[in-house]
Amino acid sequence: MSLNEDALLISGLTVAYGRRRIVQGLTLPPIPRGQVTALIGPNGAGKSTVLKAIARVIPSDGDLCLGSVDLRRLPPRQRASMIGYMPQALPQGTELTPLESVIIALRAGGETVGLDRRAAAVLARLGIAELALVPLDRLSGGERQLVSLAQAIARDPAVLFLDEPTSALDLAHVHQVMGLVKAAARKGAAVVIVLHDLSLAAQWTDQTIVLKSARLHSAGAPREVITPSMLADVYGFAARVEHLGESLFIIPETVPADPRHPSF
Amino acid sequence: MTGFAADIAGEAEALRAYARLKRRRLLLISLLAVCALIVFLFDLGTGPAGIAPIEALYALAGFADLSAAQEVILWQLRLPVALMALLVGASLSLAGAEMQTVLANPLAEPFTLGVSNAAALGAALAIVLGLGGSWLPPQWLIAGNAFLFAAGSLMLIQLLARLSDAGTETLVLFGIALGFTASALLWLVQYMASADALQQIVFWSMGSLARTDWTVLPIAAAVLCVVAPFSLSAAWKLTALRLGEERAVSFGLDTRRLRLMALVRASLLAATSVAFVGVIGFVGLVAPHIARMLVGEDHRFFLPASLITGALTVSAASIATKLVVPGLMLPIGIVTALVGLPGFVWLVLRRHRRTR
Repeated sequence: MSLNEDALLISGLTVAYGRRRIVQGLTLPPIPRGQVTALIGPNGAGKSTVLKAIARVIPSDGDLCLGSVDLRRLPPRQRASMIGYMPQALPQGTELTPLESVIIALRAGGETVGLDRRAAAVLARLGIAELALVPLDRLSGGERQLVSLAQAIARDPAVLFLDEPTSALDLAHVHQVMGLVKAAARKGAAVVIVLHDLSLAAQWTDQTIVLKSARLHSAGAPREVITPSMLADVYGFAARVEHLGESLFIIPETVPADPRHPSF
Repeated sequence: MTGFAADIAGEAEALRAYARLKRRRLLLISLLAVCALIVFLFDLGTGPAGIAPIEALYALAGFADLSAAQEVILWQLRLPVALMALLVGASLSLAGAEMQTVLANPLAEPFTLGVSNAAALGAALAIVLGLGGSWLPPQWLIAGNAFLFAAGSLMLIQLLARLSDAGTETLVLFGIALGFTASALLWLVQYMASADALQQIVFWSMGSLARTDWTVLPIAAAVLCVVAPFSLSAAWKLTALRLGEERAVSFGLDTRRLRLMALVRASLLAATSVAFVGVIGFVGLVAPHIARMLVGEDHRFFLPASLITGALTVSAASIATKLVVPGLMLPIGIVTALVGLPGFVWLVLRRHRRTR
């Protein structure tokens, strides 16, 4: 079975808020299982909207298949057990604990036995077992983001959608999380991750999809896609792109003028 | 980050701690229930007839020899009132707990969402128009009309929210607006009412357990017994809602339906309580917060704890109504408002501190 046979296929995706169409007829390249796909683009390009639509968190039209399985036709609970989604927003003002939140994630998948044990194991996998019983409200933003990721990956879903999972994390945790995401993909999940950090996308993802104004701009291996011409075209930003081993650096061509720092 | 072995130790430790925590929560709920029972006995034993709580307990079990007058006072006056206090407290608190969860607003409760004002308006209209006749005694008609207005107001809020496709914050604002509208209309009715009717309306709106007798008690009990199991069976879904709307949807939950059903349950509970005992504010607000502090937000524990805390609170308030002014039973709405208001302010301040 080749990886592409049961890839995630998205075509004709249309999202409307009232009468206003935010996304119209968007078709993305196949998102293979076993790989991490980055969704990049400037602010307002529709990355989060597209992610929510394909995670079925907001209503949308279009085809959404995982291999031969039509995800749109599955009953919500069954679909939910195949899809893990990590929203950008973190819960506010809740006394729930990380362990309880992961137990609920498992329970939502229809499981009823051994939830406590499995939830604790998921937290341990993320290295936050010691936070298991601290109310979410008392955790830092980064810790809550890790708990949020734990809920998304708890059921080892076939498809994983992550909306900026590293935005509140420090350097070490960013790479820990990306390592966990990569590990989830190696276990066979199709992973789509919205990222702002293009260097991170280049280093950790297998495929990069660039959105501009809710349309597909380009897609392919990160090295081929993240180029000075794409940056100029999509972000309106003149920069050089340098590669060093696995890493990629974006060096601005013109430093924006700042009166406090006379140009060197 | 700690190493692999250390994580396993942490994992096992977390599991043991969680098992302990669950046991402690069950213990706390049992303790609350025992306290509620004791307070209930004191409620029975408080008043001018000279029946001690322990005598009341013996009498209930059929062992005590009370005088005939005491028997009547205990069985016909005190017992229905004391039981109603438990039922109303449990109903209002459960309603408040569910509303706070589905509206994602810690200040939501039947009282703050205008349900009580609407009920008072319904009762006032029934009183002023002098509806009812030989086929239906007026007190039933007043209760029935109050119920209709209370339930109707919550349905109207739902409808408005659905039509405007609005979020939970808008729902709360609609509730507040509706509450003010009902108040204004209530003033209008009061202004036009005769002196007799006016007095009746004012006493009705203050909330009093004294109207309770053995005929209304089974209705309040039945509503609570029918509604509470549905609430409890939705416990994990309600817990999931506390993790955020998007998250709950991604779990495959129909949050709209969940919200609607929870509000229908809350409406039934609140409308029934208000119909029989009038406006009793702040119990639905403060009792769930106490429960949350004691057992956390896992609704398997939180909902029963809220229910019992509410029962305990109103039962204690019922004792206070008889003690504050000796020989006079104050309307219970005054007591809960006086005690509840500082609680409300404290909650707002606490929330403010936390979000800063």
